[in-house]
Amino acid sequence: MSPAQGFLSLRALERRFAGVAAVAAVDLDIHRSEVFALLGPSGCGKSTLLRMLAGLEGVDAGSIWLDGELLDGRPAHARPVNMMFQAYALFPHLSVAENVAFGLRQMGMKGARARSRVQEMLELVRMSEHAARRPHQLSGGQQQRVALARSLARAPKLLLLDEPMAALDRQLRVQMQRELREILRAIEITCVLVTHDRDEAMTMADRIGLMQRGRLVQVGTPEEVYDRPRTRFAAEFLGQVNLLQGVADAAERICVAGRLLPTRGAAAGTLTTIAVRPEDIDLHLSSPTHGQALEGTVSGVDYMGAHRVLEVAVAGLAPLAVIIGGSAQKSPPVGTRVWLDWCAEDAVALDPEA
Amino acid sequence: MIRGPSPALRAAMVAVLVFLYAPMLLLVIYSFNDSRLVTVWAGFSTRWYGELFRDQQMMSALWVSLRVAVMAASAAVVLGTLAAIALTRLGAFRGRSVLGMLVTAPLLIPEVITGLSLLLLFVAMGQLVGWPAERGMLTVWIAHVTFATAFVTVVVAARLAQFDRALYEAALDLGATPFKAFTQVVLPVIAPALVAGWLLAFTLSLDDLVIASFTSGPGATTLPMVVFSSVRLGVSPKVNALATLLIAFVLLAALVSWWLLRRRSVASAPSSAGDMSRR
Ligand SMILES: Nc1ncnc2c1ncn2[C@@H]1O[C@H](COP(=O)(O)OP(=O)(O)OP(=O)(O)O)[C@@H](O)[C@H]1O
Ligand SMILES: [Mg+2]
Repeated sequence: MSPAQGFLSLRALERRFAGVAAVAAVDLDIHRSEVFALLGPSGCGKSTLLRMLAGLEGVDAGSIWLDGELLDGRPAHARPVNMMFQAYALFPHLSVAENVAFGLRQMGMKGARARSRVQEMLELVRMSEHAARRPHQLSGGQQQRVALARSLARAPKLLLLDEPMAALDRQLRVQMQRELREILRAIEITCVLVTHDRDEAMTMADRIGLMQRGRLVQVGTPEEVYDRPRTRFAAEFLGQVNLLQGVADAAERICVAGRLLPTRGAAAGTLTTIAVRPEDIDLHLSSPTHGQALEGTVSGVDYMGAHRVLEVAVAGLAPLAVIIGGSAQKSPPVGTRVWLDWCAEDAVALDPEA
Repeated sequence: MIRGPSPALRAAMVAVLVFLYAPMLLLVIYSFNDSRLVTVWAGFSTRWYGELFRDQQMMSALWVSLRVAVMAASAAVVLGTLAAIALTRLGAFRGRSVLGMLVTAPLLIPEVITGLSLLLLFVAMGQLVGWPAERGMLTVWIAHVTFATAFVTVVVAARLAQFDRALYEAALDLGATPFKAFTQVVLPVIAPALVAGWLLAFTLSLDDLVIASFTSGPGATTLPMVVFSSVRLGVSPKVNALATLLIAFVLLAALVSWWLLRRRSVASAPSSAGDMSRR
């Protein structure tokens, strides 16, 4: 009966503010038990899209299907969806246990059953011993756990997380990411999370949806989006990247600075931009036998602990970044003449952007 | 480096405090005077308090004032809260700032004008629709509700402006209907402001002489009216005793409301840093 394919399906979703589209033409299918990250720069419409799923934001066009049911027009309180808010939004006048019980009370669950469900949730997030405290007596990490327990208590079909780690400091963030991921996997819940932190999206999610100016520009597993970005925006947003321009030939090679270098997915005879990650570039201290490598000079070395980032100046091109491993590979000093190449797999031809 | 106020500033502060509180202090002291003459100290006594409680006229006026104040404060809290919600929660609508001005203008309008206009309204209504038939406690109550509502609106709107909208949305998200989200989350969180608004309205009503004089009728003389008219016949130490009791009461109410507002704002400060500003 529904045109939906996924457990959660979004069809042509759109939201406008004062005529400007904050979310536009979003089509997306999310599987049951999948953790899906909406990733994008500030203001790209991630939160708006999430709030549309929760029913807290209006929908100007399009439909949302969840588990075969159409959610359109259903108010927030009647959706089998729960959200963890960015600043947690714990009720300050209620204790930790009462916060978790709030959603249960709205379903009419009371007494011993509600108490045991609250207890179960608090154990899941390891907060049982703080059940009687008020939110302001908790640390940021503890508040987050309570917020998570509260949004899981009603066993929603869909869990929404808005910037779950934004209020935590760096160290705690990494630890909570791991904990949260384990909890989500353990209870096999379908989850959409919003973040502007690509590391967070890559560690937490099964798939990533990259957003730009209200549109989903690429959807795929973290490896897919990282290794095969479709556009320049995607390539740059997911990490450091070298962009090179040249005309491609029929044999999947591209002419850069007078050399023919391998690439993948380029149409013959067109001016193409390719993206090569710094760690995918092979660095040689003598010209490789095939002769088709970029020749340059090391112009800078950054020590980054486990690896080093070299800056290589090549005549006629912007400086290239090259990452080489730790102790195994000795770093050539500044001024060394080097040759760079890569295999076709690692040089992705990008779509020309609109 | 932080230094205390300079001696000159200190002196000025003491002068202001003396100016503000010396008359009241004098009144309190003389309420325990044994003499009938207000200006002659004749030893400590509580006889005027005893006489006060035996004074039928004053006691019935006190009873009228208390009833009017409780009812006016309660109605003002309900109306003022509704007005504050309309002003702060509905988002931007046409004429919102005009509405805000209209609701709070009674704070600035001289009481004489408020009293006079209400009197005219009651008289005109009495002639046109036969209600209110005569002026009395009901009309004083209505009059007090109108001006106390403005004060409550200001107090509650100030609290609502800081209210984290995400709390309300979280309640909706957790299955509460808008009505339940309001009664179970918004109201409890802003409750201290409602209590403070009630106490403010209560003391304003208890204290009002001008508006009550305009809108009251023969059967309903409020305490300030009795005090004012009895003082014109000469200050009786009984009035001092009454005033002392009122000062103590009002001071207590002010302290309680200040304490309530402070306590809750301290308690909710760390957790309410939400994205209210976006709305
Ligand atoms: N209620 C609103 N009224 C008007 N404009 C809005 C409203 N909510 C969001 N917008 C606009 O819609 C766009 C998307 O906002 P949104 O909050 O979804 O961004 P975001 O991707 O979550 O950004 P961030 O990472 O900064 O949270 C922004 O340009 C924002 O200004
Ligand atoms: Mg956001």
